[in-house]
Amino acid sequence: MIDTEAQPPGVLWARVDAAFFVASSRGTFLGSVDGQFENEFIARDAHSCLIGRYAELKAGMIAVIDHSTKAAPA
Amino acid sequence: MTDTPSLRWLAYSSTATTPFDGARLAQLLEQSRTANQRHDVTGMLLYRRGRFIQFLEGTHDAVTSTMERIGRDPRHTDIRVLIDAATPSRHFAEWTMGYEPLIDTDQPAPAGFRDTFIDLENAPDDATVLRAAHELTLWFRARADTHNEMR
Repeated sequence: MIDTEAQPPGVLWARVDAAFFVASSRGTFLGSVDGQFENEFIARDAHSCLIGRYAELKAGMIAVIDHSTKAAPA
Repeated sequence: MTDTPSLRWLAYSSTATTPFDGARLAQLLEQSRTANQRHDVTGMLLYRRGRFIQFLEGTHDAVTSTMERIGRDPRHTDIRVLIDAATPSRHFAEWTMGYEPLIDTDQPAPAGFRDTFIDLENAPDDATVLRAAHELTLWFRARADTHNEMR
């Protein structure tokens, strides 16, 4: 089980295939994490731009949320 | 000044009348890409467990004629339109018919995660179906970008 409770309120994660996960919040897409390769989780923003590569899914998910928070207008 | 024709975005699901292997999928994609190029239609095809999900986008008339052609294709049945809406821009502008293989699993989505395919095909409300469709567009673009980066 993955701790989605630790995500900010309103963030929804969906699994598209066995290794691909997408985050959205109230209709706005935040990004994705792709774990198709062994020991590597690729985090991308909503425009598919690379955020980073991580050793664990949870780290990739946190990176997506952090990136979207920084990118959001004040 | 000429108005830009409005774009239409349509997604449907259907069931293959017989299972598709890699060779039949490649043939289907080639036929689809040739036809779509002629009509300036773009989109993406998914094949999963004997089911197709296809996204089409183009002018209203181009999508209508493409769907009429698809509807006559005996290789599939049970066609169900999931989304049919106007869109300000194309989601798959670079693909006459994109395709990326899914990493399928029989396991349910982990606790706390939505399942995109369940939402796309079974959700009772349009907002959830639309969200699931956008999740698939993100999946496709990310996988295509990753594969391009590896070349």
